[in-house]
Amino acid sequence: MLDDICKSRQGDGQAYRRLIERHQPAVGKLLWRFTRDRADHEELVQEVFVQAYVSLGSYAGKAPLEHWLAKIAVRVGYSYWRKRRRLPVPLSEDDWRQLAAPQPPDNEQTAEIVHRLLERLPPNDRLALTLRYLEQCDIAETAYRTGWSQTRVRVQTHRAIAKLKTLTQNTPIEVDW
Amino acid sequence: MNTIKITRLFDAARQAETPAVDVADAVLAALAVRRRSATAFQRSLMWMSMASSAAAAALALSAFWVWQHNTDAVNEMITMVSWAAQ
Repeated sequence: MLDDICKSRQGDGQAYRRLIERHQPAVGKLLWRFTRDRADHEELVQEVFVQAYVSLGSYAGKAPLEHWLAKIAVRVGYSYWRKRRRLPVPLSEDDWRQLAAPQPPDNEQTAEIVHRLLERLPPNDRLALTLRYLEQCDIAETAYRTGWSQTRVRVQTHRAIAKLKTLTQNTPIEVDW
Repeated sequence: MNTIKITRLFDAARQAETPAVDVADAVLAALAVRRRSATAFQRSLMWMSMASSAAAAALALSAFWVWQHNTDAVNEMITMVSWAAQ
């Protein structure tokens, strides 16, 4: 893989293609947390690899390439959230009842509902919860990916949880953390 | 009232499928376009610098010519004055 990185730096398109093909599933999975729109998703993944190529010269090889790409992906996804602040669609009573039903919705539907729920938070809070609970990053990894200090990650996560609790207060079901 | 654990929702959401993407061709095409536009920009800079150098050279030549022309007239006047004085 290091060979492909060196060759890519020298402008070898085929080497960079191999890097993209190796890492696009992970980058795609991460960015699916940022958008559920397929066209936007593909565009974001593409943007990550374009930015990665441009700054490949600054990749020192200290962290594994997938971590470095994840950091770029988080930056791209976060700026997407900031640029495209759509009016979030609040969850309906049906959505909540569906979640609490004895036969809960499948993972796809749950993911969609969680996405809509998190969409109602400001980008910083949403990022903290996405990385900590959906990506299951620990504090250090979240700090690396966001560029925040570890203290800020802790505070931001705490605030985000509090906001999420407030958001789920007037729902037909009780939401427990 | 029913209770749901939000962490259970996150667990389920995490297990959801992710759509497959294949962006290799699009990325390489986008990089080729960037490279081409960077080359075109450098080329236009080069042409601009060549044109401005040519303009500067022409200006220098014409300034020299004007100076030469004027100096001849001044020299002639000085000579005439010195003759008259003699």
